[in-house]
Amino acid sequence: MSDYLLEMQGVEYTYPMAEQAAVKNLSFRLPSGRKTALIGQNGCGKSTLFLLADGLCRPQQGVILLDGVTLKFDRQTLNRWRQRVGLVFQDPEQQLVAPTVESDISYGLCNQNLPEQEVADRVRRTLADFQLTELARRPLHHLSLGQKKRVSIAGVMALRPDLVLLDEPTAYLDPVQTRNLLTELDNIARSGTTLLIATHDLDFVYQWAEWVLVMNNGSLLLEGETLAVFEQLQLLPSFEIGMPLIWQIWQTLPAKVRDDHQVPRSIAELAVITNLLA
Amino acid sequence: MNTQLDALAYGNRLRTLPPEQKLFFALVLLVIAMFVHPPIHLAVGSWMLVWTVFYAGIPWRFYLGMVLGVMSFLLTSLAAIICNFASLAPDDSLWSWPLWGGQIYMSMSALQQAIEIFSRSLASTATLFFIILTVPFAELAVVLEKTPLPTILTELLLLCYRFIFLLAEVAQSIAIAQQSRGGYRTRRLALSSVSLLIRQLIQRTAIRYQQIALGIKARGFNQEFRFWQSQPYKYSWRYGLESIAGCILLVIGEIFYRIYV
Repeated sequence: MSDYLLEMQGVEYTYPMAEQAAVKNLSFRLPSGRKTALIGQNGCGKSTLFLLADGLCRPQQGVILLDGVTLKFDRQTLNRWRQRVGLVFQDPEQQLVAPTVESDISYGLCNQNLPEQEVADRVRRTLADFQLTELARRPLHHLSLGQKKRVSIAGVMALRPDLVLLDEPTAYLDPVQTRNLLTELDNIARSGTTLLIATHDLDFVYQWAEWVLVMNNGSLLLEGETLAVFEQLQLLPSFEIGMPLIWQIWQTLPAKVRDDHQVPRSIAELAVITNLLA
Repeated sequence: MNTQLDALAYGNRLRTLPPEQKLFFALVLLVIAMFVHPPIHLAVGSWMLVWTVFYAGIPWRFYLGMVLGVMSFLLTSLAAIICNFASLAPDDSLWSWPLWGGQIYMSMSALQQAIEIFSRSLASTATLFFIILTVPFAELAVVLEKTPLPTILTELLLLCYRFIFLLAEVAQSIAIAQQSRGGYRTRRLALSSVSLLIRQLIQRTAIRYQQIALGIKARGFNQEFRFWQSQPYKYSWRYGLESIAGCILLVIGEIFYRIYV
């Protein structure tokens, strides 16, 4: 596997009947095995980028590569591609198609024509990994939103993809569900799967992400290590996306304190520094 | 109501019985109900009540509500079978009344026919309710897949089942939003709100369709919907023996009825 898993070069895409391109001249490289966040204002093209990356939209220009292999739009290539690139939509209802939890998790596996025994084994393992075993035979419409979200992620992870794209994974979730979900995402990241998360939650991005992509008007504005990206974002006041709370508090501290300490990445780290000040 | 039906089908005490066992039993009873006389129909209905309410643990009030709902429709249609109008009432009429130069009457043969239709419907409805309340739809579809029915039919049934609840949720959320803004304050407003709800539902269905088509593609749709489901069922000899013995008793009862009545 190369250092960069997903790559887009000069990608352009305009939706049918649309006047403006949703994505224009988009080029970036996504590092392998890193927790990456995709941020930007509403309508900047984040969701379109995901659809392009999963081969659900065909770019009018440019190429998309996975591990250096170009995406071609024939059925065989797309099937293989979607085994390696999993997409979790913002609304779990969009991708849950089967009547029960276990049958939904099996859906992607059955599409790969795997032997029944292997499907059964993988479904059981995935149910256990996502603590869904007790809900296995429950109909999907009996689940809470947080549970549906878990099932939608489990259905993608059962395919053992190399890259998982998650569109606003914490949307509609309460703080406890969000915390549980983040633990699961960290487990997935630890297993070596590359995660790319599109979100508006900058506090989450600041604490969770190792790499950040910033989009603006369908193009890539910035990319890099999380701290470096936020440092550059601070220099772009016209780009109104806001800044993480920890970062804002950090900026209010005296310059001497900031010179003496590393930039905190979590509330706990920030608390240590402010306690020292007190 | 639909959600409650579904919840009961998933939570009843006969859930662990193989759906094939329950379906086969119900089908045999339906066939018996087609050929027997009213007393045996009543026996079938009562026996199904025992299975559904006592064995499966379906709340009797809920069950009674379902049966009465169906029976009220049936009773209204029976009136048309029992009462007839002719210029002269036949010899076997039990009751007649002159009206507009003719006679409205109730004959013995019509009454017997009505009783037979009513009792047969009662038995068949009780059997059907047994299936609906004890076999979840997803399991029913799995059984159907094993039959020579076209795959597309079972796929469509499964998808309809899945999306019926989605649309119900959407309709409910729209109705609540309308209610919270006084949309059902007067009859006139209620009518207009319902029409708006239907329009919204159609629009949202179209959007939902597009979203789901994308979702299905993203999950590697391969020209057919195939799922795997575990089969943690256990054949019950106790229930198996009771169903066999009961069916034999019903047939014997019918034979006796035909000989002696």
